[in-house]
Amino acid sequence: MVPEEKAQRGLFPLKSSPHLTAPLTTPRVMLDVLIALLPVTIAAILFFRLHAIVLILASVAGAALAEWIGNRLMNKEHTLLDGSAVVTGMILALCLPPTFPFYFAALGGAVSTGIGKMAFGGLGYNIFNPAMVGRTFLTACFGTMMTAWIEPGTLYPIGGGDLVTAAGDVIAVTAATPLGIAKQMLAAGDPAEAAAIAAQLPGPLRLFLGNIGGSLGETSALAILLGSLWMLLRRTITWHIPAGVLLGAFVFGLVAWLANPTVVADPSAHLLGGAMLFGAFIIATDPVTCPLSASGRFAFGVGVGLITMLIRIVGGYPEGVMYAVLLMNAVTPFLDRWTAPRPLGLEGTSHA
Amino acid sequence: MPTPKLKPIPEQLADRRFSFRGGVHPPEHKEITESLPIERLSLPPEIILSTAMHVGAPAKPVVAKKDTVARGQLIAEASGFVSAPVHSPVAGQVTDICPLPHQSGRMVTALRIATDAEATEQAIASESEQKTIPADLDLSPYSPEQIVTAVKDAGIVGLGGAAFPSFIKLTANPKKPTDVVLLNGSECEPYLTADHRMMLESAAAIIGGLRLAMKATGAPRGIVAIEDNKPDAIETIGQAIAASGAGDALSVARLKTKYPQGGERTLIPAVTGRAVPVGGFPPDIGVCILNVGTAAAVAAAVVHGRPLIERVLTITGRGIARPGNLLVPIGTPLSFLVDQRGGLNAAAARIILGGPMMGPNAPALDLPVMKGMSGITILADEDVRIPKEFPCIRCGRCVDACPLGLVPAQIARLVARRHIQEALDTHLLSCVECGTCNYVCPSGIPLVQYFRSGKFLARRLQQKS
Repeated sequence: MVPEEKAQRGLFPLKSSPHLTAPLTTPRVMLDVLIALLPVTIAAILFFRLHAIVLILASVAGAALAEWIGNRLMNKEHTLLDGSAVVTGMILALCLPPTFPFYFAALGGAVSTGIGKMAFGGLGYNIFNPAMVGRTFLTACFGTMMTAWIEPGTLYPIGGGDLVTAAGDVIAVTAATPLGIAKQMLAAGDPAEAAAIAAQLPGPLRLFLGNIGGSLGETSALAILLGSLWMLLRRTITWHIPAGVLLGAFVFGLVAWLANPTVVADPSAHLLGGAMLFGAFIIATDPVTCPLSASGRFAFGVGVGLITMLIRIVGGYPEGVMYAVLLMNAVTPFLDRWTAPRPLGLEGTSHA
Repeated sequence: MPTPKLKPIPEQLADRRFSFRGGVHPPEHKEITESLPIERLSLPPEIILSTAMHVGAPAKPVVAKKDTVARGQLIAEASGFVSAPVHSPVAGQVTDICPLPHQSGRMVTALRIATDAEATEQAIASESEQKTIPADLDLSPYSPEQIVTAVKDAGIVGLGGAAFPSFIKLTANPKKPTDVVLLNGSECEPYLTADHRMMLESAAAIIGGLRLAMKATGAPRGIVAIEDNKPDAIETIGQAIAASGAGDALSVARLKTKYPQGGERTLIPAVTGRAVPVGGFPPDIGVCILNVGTAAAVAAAVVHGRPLIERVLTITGRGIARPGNLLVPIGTPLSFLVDQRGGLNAAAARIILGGPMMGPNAPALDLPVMKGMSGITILADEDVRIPKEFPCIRCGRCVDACPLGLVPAQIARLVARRHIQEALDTHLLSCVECGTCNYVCPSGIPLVQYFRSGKFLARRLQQKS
């Protein structure tokens, strides 16, 4: 129809302003997260070879399948193309130990999206970080396998199981993670024993570059920071949560270390070791489950950092990022309420 | 309420660049029309004058069907305090007084006038000598009361889009003394360039209007605020200030180019450091704010007794054959305007009355030019992306972008669930519908639409109780 006729008949569409929209879309946001996960994924594949690939594929497949089934059951439009299930599956896989059986990884992926997200109504409605819901499930069900760490680059059969064959051949070298070492120090009987254990801690440079025992995605600080830089540049995440997490963890770690330097590992081991960086930049920054405002996000981050260190140093587990994120997810609605920005012109505010 | 102590306005504005928190940078596309001088549109054969071209009570017709009217003649008078009279921009005959389509979507009483082209041309020709305002306008003949009356009788309303009767703003209120008149030349809406061209071509009238407004309100200072994407306007206005002989009291404030810089609730705090109180208005903080085009109309009304019967607007976008800045009679049917500019392009996809960020849009061209219509933006298919809607992922972009410090995602969520009281508690009514949040939302949520329906539901809630 020519536009004149369209105008004559009043057929130009009526829409609410604004008539312009920025080009960024939700799938693009998810794609940016996937791009940010690339360096970590490549590092994981370099360190743990085929096992990393298999775990990632299994976890993503599980997450995607559960989302597909969830939508099917609820008679909802399929949402796989928004990319969020892939992101969840990737993050879960990168939080798993390399020896973890792939079929359980797929199960974990399914729990992540199925229970962590779809049960709440799908993308945007979940209150807990889906990947962490999946990981909590796996930790509860398969605790031993979730803490079987190996030296990167050593061989072992896919599917985990015994690290030593029946014939007695060593097929993989078990490795203590930095946090495992830190926990042993805390448990040590006397200062001399603690010092001997502390000597096993990898130096800061090795912690930074990676190639140490740990989950697939958490070993290389460098790879995590590279990906995070991309997300910061694309404004997929803002600095508030990572800064809050690192600040909270650093302050807690520093005080504990200064109070008792013989049995507490120094703060750098806590910041660079374990899932602290991966958690600060990639897990805790899930927008759906963190507060809306900048100040709320910062407070959320500080909470994650403090709780993580509380678990690591005072609690029973060597690692605490997962529980810290889930606990802070639970208080996100309150943080939203307490940190809501004040409207311009409300008494007591002025030009910011 | 006692008058709050007001922050003093900085003495020196020249070296500063003012801005606000939040905001966005949509593509401006001002290049389409910014270098095109204002042209006078040829006379439309028919004029449609709505009685509701301003905020407040509709005007009451004072002519009858078949009456002959002259150019500039009063045809509808103000009814009530917040109202404005309407004058005919053409000489001709009233052919009908009946309800006609209005840009609000309702039918509103309007007067149709058949143009007597010859008589109108003659009237225009005889006006030509009184078009200009001297750069160093002598204010002594005009008392504040005379200025307010002239503006009131001329039917002047805010030409930036809000269409609030201007005489109310200019009336000095001893309880709320005005210490600055702020002229808004930021024109932050993408595409529109009418104010820009006015500043280049009618700088003397604008400065004259500013000084008259200062005299009427008793404000010692006058500031023209202009975004820095219009360096030529900043220069021209600066020269006009220098030529006015009142340079000490007047200054230009250079603004960062950012949407919605020109909203009064973002512009006033940016320049003066004073926030307009929630639920309050600029006079509460000693500010009188007018659009630059309004200032020029004030000067013409006071100095030459000219009613508001014409205005400058921009017709632009990839959907119109010949974009431009035009001086048009108020009441010109849009269909005539579009025809005169070569018609719609085949790609025309959306007709917007005003700029693309805040302008309402129209399904057809059967509406007339209104007093507050600063432009007509006709977007092409390629400009209009109808985003697929996803659930809110709480990314917080809307919160960071909102210039008023609101939480748009939260308000929209509450409105969607019909929790209107909670939405009001979350400051729904503070929203000015600038569309900034809506623009940045990656989930394509029609946030502004939620706010509008929320305000509608809130009104209904109020009526019930």
